[in-house]
Amino acid sequence: MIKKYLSLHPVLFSTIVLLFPLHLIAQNQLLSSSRSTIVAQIDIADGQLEMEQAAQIQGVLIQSLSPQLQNDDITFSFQLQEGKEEEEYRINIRAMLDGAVINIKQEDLLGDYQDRIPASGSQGKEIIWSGLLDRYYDFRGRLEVILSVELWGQPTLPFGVRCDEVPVFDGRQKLPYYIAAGAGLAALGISFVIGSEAQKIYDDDYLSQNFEQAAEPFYQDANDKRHTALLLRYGGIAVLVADAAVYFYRRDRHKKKLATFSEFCGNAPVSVRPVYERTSEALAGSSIGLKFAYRF
Amino acid sequence: MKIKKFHLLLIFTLGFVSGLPAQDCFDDFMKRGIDAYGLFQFQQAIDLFNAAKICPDNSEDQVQEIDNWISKANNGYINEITKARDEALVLQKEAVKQARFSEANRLAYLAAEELEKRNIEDALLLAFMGLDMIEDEPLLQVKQVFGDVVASSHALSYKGAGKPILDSDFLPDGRFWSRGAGQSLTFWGADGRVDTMLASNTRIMCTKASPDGQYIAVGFEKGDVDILDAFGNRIGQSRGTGDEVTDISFAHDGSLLAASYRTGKVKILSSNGTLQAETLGKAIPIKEGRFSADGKFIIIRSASSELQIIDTEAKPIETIQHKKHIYQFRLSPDQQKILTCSADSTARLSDFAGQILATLRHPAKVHKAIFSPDGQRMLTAALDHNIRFWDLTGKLLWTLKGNESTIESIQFAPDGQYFLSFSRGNVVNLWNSEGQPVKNLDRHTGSILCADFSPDSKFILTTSADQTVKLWDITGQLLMNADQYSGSVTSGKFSADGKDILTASHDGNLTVLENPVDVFKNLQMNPPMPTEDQQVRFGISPTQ
Repeated sequence: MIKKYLSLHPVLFSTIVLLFPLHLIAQNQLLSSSRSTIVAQIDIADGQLEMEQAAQIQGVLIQSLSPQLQNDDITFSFQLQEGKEEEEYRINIRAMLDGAVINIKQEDLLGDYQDRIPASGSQGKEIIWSGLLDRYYDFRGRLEVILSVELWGQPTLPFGVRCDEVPVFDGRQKLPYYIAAGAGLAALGISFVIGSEAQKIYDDDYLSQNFEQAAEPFYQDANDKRHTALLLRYGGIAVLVADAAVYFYRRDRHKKKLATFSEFCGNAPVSVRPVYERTSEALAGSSIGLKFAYRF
Repeated sequence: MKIKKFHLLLIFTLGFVSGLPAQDCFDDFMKRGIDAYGLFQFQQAIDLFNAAKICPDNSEDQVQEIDNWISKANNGYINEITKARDEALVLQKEAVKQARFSEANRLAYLAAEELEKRNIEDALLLAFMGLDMIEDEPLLQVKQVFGDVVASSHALSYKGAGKPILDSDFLPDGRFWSRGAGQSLTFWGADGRVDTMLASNTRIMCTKASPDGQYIAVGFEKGDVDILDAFGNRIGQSRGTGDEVTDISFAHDGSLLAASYRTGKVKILSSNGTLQAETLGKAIPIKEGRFSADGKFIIIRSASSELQIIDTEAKPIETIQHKKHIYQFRLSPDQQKILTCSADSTARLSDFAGQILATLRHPAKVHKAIFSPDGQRMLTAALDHNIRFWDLTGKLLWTLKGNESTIESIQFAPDGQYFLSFSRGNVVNLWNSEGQPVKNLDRHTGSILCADFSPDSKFILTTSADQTVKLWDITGQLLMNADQYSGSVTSGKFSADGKDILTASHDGNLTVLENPVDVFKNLQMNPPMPTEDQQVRFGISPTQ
């Protein structure tokens, strides 16, 4: 089945294989995370919710968090840091009542509780944990709620900014792409040569034979050459397509890097530069900061 | 042989009696004869009485006495033979029965083995033969193996989109629909293929089928209500204003719908979605609304201590007030009374004029309350884990101690003879209508998620987080254990005729099981055949 598929769609297959790494490169990555914890005494049937202390916030993404009891719903209002347009927040909420973990049903959560929400725009968010008395009948005790927020996107400053290394994408970096393009073109060219040779054998040798036994070897030869030519042709096209895709992706990334470099490492004698020491649950022990730089 | 013995005894007796005085001879033989009679040795007794007969100088009375004893011994002999024959017949019957049982057990064992090897056809044949052999005898293992085989051989699985199923039900034509957590509504064909899949870009909050099952109303997060036919075609719509729909209710004739909203509004819509009337709302989320049987009133429960009754023009008629949150309400079977239960530790029976007919008290919050099917009694469950049984005057009939955890469900069988309850555990308690425990259905190893009686009240279905569905008879005997699931089985429903069971699991798949009792009846009319017999019947050679 796979063999048949490969022979029928060599271009498609080769393109998928060659472009797959690009797909991985293009995936969003975890940029930062933050979490906030609130602890409160609650008795929903009696309409009571008393915070034991103010919300504890770790990280910079969550700027405030407050719960409010409305009927048998708890509304969590929180403020998130403004993100970029292409970035997204992933929000998760966990709860414990008197130390026992509550399995919150996703269908009970309303509001800004979705898999992915845009990180830009209005940052005032609200999650409603609804119908608690319908689900739990008697919801009272010491409630601990942990709100986790992750920021996902393309890292524009993946390694901080190093002003001693100007981003380059010149002839040396471009050479592999030129070589690959050349190989693709060469494969195409060779495929045409072999193809015409196969056609020539078919026309001149095979068709001129009167007996099948004598014609058969010419047919086989022509057919083999034709297959080789097709393989080279599709392979060449696939290499060219993949090469162009990777080339343009890398050129685009280079432009972004160059823009970042110009922003933070221009000719200004004094500048403030971000450094890669960020706080993140995923990258424990790191922190984010700015470096004051003076050029002399 | 006996004749020879008798002659020897006679010669010996003649020799003996000739040497005995006449009275001693009679007494001696009679005593020995009677002793033999007492020991049920009738033949020997008859021989001894005959020997006494030839003693010299026997009086007439003595001869008469001897004859009587001989007659008695003869009768005893016949009786003993008859009795022995009867006993032998009983033993033979029992032996045949035991042999049948043993063969049925053997077949069931073989069926279980074949089932293990996934040779379903062979397993079905063996299990059927086993069950057919025991007829109505309570051979549980054989019945259960047959049920287990049916769970594999007669189950149809419907692959969902991988998201949990939140709601599902049969359609009148035997097809069914499901609502997935992935914002989709699917109409399934009888062949297991998707007839129609409606994917929404906003969240579906609730779905409700009309009483005749011909229409399905869908409520969305943004407030829209779509009315679909049984094939998923939209036949009506009411546009929302961004407020979540929390519940939808159809009037019994299907002509009106009541859509409830989180803002506290209730919209009364015609069956094509046209707005007829709407309440102003009190900014308290509406939990549920139900039409009265005559379609004149709508009873509305909100997230508060108040139950409202409005008419179809959305005008308030009456209010039933508790002191704290109302967990649920039920309409009596005659639709004349309303039963509410509340966090104020009471349940209340009221009429539509808002008059309280009875107050049912518990020492804890009352979170469940139901009517018996005849409407003459009420059952309440409270957070102290107790169940109480009441008559309509509010007289407490009895109290049942439940399990150690919160009671999740109480439910009457449709005929009212039994009811079940289950808590946050692995056991379903089955009770009779007098409150006596019938059986604990305790074969699940995970939390019970759903339990339901069949429409004819003969079966009970349970689904569990242990990824199995079990079917029990009304005496609590396990008939089927379906274990082909790969996620918690969140719901199970009988079809209207009780023959099919629709189950939904957390992995997003639906499975339709057949009731093994019906399968058995069908197989008796058209028995399965061994593979080779089928080949003969259809004329197919294995080599062709």
